[in-house]
Amino acid sequence: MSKPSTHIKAYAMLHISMLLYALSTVCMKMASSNNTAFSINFFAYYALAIFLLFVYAIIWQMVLKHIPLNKAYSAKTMVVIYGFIFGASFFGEKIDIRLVLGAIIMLCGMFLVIHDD
Amino acid sequence: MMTNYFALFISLFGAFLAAITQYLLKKEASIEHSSLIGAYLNLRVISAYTILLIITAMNLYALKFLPISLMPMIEATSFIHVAIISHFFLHEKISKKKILGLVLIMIGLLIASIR
Repeated sequence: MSKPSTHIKAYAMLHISMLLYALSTVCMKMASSNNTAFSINFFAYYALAIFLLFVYAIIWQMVLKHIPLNKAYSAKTMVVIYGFIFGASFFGEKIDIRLVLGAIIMLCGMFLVIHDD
Repeated sequence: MMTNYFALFISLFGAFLAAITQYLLKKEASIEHSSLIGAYLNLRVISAYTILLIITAMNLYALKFLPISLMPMIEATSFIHVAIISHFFLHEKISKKKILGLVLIMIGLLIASIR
């Protein structure tokens, strides 16, 4: 259906969209966690979160043009995994064996769905 | 206790609605648009994101009564909804490999989120 290069570009965009979505949730958490309500920081982080979601929404439509919904949606596992990574690096959340095991299983599942033709 | 079940229902229904919005977005993405703006400012895309906003509000409400650790499990149900909708309404093939993959995603999500 599409050329191989379009295929690769579509999956690259899929990955970027998931990263943007994860970063957006990081900003939401930054906005709500250590800032008093309605401070400049709160609005700045919230605005950034909305902006990131906006860009995500634009890219998501482009992705859906080239990738079946099942495969694209399975990439949402990347949001969860980025959630663990960003949670640990920005918010000091602990990564224990259950997170790692769960993440590995999720990644296997995602690869199975995507590499099914 | 009644409130908890209602909040749970709201949250689960939100996950189902989220799958519906993805169906709308995919349907619109499959159509050829004459302009770039047309690809985004149309009934399906606008409806989809309006519904997603409503779902966010629903979850904000539900989180008053539900532990946040329940959220990943509710999100896991959306994978099931998307699989069913994409098979029956988008005519995407569901093979055993895809089903296994989706099951693994849900199992992994549950393992990672159980505290």
